[in-house]
Amino acid sequence: MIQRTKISRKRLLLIYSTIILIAILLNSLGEVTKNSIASNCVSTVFYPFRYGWNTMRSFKNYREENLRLKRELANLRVVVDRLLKYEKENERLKKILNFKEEKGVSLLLGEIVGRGVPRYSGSAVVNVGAKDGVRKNLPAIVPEGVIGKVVHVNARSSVVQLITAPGFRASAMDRRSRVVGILQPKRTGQLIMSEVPLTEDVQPGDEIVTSGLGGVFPKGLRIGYVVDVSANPDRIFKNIEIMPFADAAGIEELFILLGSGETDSL
Amino acid sequence: MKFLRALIFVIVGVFLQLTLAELFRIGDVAPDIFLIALLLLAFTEPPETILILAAVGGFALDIFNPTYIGISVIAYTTGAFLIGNSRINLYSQTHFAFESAVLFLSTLVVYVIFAVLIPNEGRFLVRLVDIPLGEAFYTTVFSMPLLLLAGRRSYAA
Repeated sequence: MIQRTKISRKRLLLIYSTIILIAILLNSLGEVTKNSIASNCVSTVFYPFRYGWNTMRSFKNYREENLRLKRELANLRVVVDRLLKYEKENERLKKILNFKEEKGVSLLLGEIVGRGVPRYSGSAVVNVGAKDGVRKNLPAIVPEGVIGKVVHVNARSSVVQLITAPGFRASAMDRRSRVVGILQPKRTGQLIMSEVPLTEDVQPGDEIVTSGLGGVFPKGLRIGYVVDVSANPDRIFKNIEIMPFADAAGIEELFILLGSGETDSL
Repeated sequence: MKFLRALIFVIVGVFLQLTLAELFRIGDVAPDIFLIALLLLAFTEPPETILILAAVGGFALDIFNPTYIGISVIAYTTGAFLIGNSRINLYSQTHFAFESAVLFLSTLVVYVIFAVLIPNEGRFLVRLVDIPLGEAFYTTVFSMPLLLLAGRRSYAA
């Protein structure tokens, strides 16, 4: 215990002497060096606090900037949405204009103002009627192809039965092999061409157009393309599935074909 | 980790010495909170640590007055040396009266060193005798509640 105390005393004295020596040396330094040591020490000691303070300030700035950018982003999103809407509308109108010019027939543009009229399942209401020259059984088309036919006419509006409506029927033809059949909708939104004998040549990928028979649709209007051909269970007719070119669910405008006649040279 | 805790304690002591001590100033004397902190640290830390921390704290006080850099180191290290020596040689257990006496003596020595080493025109006797005595007395009185509390905790430990 005594020895331990002695060692401690010696060590304590040694540390004390060293510190005092260093302190005297420090004190004997020139004024400029002393000031430089002091300022360096102060800046080093206070660096973490200054750093912390600056970080906090920058965080505050980031938060404010973040809020400002969020507000700006929300405004821009509204502008972008509007521009996208205009762009789509522009594309659609351009397409319609080109289509009208290409066809060179009398087309009446109608805007869809309603859907699902009770008496006419799968139909659409357009804002053109008898006063605009619309009559019953006139074909309704869009740039992609046939979309339906007029089934009811009012003075200022008409009801168009879409090609996907349960009661829709039309005479159709394979553009390549000229095979004729009856077009009718399936529940899946696709179409089928029935009454085509097993022996007839219809291949997947073939384009289906109106045949001109039946007195409603002129010959050669595009309908869709064949996606599947199979034999019916009765083994007499083919089962031909067709994907329509026009999306009946997505259209906003359509044309009523006022002037009849062949639209395609075929 | 223990040293770091002690270092933080000393930094707080220096901070209080620079800020709080002036609030309790009466005339020429103000309590030496840093020295009280060193004495309180001596309850738990070995004398060598107290010595090093006294040097660090003295240097920290010096950098705010670079002209006399090193003087606080000498003064407080000497004060801490006295505290450490008393712990080794005189009394190994904490005792209120003894701790108060050690603090009184240490403060007296520290302020005598200041009076001797810091050049000042006139009032030499006042600075050499009156101020160190006043500082020692005021610091001792000021530390009493803390010493009592620390002594109790030390006994309990």
